[in-house]
Amino acid sequence: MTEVQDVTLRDLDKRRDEILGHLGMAYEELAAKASARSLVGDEWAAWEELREIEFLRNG
Amino acid sequence: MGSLGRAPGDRVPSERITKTTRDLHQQVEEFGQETAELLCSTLPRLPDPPIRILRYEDRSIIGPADGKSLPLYAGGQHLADMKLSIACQLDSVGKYLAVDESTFNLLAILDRAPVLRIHYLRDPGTRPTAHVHMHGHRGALSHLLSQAGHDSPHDMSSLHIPVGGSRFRPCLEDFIQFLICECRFDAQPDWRPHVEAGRERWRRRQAAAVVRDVPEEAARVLRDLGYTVEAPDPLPATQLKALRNW
Repeated sequence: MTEVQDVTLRDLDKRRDEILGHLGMAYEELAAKASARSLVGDEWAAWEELREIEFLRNG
Repeated sequence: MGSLGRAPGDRVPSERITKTTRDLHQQVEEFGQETAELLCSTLPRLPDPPIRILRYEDRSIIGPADGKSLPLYAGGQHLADMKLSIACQLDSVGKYLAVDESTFNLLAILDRAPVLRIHYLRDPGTRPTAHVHMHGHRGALSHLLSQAGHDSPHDMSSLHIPVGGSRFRPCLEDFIQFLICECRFDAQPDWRPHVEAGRERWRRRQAAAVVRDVPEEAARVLRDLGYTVEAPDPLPATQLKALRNW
């Protein structure tokens, strides 16, 4: 059976902070790199997960 | 299996009509389960379970936990990863399960960056609804893009290569077969029937969606084949958006 994880806004915020903390970057800094097509290495996975969080928060 | 495409872009087929949030949750769980079964029956040595559903209110993400990727092996050696992400929610009228965005990525473990991405966006703006990004270098392409005044002439991945729009776009089964047959990644011994059965389901659903887009075209073809088809009154509206969008 596929695991279903119901999350709260607090969970999403916490995960967002963890991702950015791991990279040592502000969201805006990472977004600027994505916009400039200059993501490297782990920044790719981080940016895609942040976009998923954004979708869950705001649709 | 419907996978990514269980939802062709704007709506899933009529049997996927949902009435309540509980129905929606159940459909997402079934969709997730089918996706997990497809992955496990085609690609070896995946984590168990390979994916999970992350859910907040009526929005869900189907994909590996914590944004991780799935390992791909060649000759038993872990050489690459596959990223899979499907974002679903109720559509604008609150009745249908819809895929808002999906991503299938092939990533090299050498630099953890994409080699190839297949991307679908329900609301793509000026980009093609379904498109492929190739991450590579080709001097001649950079040259011609530069001469043509492109913003990112040296970045091949800035191109959105259109692949069939919402109705005729590639499904997850296509991507998996590409990984196995073209890239030569390891596969489960009996992978092919799972891919083919899933692709058939996907294309039947897409065909049904196209019939709803242009019912008079479907009726004409059926009459040509000898069926008796009577038009309802009033005639159903033709929906050309999905067929006209690139």
